[in-house]
Amino acid sequence: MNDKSSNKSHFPATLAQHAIVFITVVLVSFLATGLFISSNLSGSPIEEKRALLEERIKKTEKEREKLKNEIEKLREEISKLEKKATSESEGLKELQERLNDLRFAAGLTAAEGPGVEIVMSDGEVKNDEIVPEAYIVHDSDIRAMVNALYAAGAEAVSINGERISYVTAIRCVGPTILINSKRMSSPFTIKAIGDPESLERGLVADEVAGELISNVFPSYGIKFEVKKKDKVEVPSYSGGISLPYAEVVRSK
Amino acid sequence: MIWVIIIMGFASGIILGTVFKVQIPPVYAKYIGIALLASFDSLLGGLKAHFEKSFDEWIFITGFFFNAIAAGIFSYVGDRLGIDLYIAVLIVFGVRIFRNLGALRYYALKSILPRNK
Repeated sequence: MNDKSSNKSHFPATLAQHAIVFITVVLVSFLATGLFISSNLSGSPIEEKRALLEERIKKTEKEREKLKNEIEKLREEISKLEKKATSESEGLKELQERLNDLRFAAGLTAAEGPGVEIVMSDGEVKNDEIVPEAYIVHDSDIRAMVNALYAAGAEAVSINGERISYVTAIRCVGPTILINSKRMSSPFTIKAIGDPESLERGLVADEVAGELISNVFPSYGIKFEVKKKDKVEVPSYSGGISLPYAEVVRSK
Repeated sequence: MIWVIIIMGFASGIILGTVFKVQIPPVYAKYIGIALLASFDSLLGGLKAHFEKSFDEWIFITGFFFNAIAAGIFSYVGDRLGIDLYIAVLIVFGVRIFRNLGALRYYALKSILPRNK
């Protein structure tokens, strides 16, 4: 159909009509392409659901990260305001110092001091006959290390930048390890503040950790390294600190 | 002329879609697919009207969007109620698409073969 004959034989094609046709065709093919691409990526409804959940998890994690930063900022602001408010009175100043000490003890402030740094990472699967899970670092391995460190007098411990607080759990979630509601995977860097000598000795001497270090890790190729350090920095705990059920026992 | 516009439209739509990698969330994929079916039918209907010299841009554009949105909502409501209403939409627009295609074939043949005039 060429221009003139179509103009004569068909409706008088105006620019507006052409534009409308063009836009609608673009719209239809644009969306159709989108559908095509999307359906190529996720096949079955189960996979679709999974992708959806994944998306939601990622979004929530991002949101949580943002809120965490906010908590940290607000905590800093609080201590600044406290300092300002208590600078006038001696008694308040003392209280403020005590409060800061308690915050430090509770792990709400970053800490530094001598200590050790442990790096653990997954081994490579060498033997197909052994389950592949044997070659990876488990939550129980990390728990054993943390426990041994505390037993040897560690004062502050963090794993991949997550401070172990009084409410921190180390648990396995699928292929990752969840600490302070943050997912992490190999390699794991455990930092502990304490006497470096006794921390290192304590790791080897601990029943569970020692067994892991001397027998289990070498035989599965899991890399494990302890370094004594003059200065280790452990970040603050930035999770929530509300304890809705526990109450202070007021004894007379 | 109309064919040039249609082909150009399709080409730019597909290119735009590929370049921007539009990701349609799986939940909405079905409803958008249904809506697309309806709008595709509107496109064919418009083309048919073009050959019948009865094309009206307002009828076309309202039909295009109204049918698409109505089809999407229809199937969404059906899913909510547990009724496969989208099948009704599928059949209605499927049949219409084939009818429109048939009419278009008729007009195309008529313009190609002058002896049928």
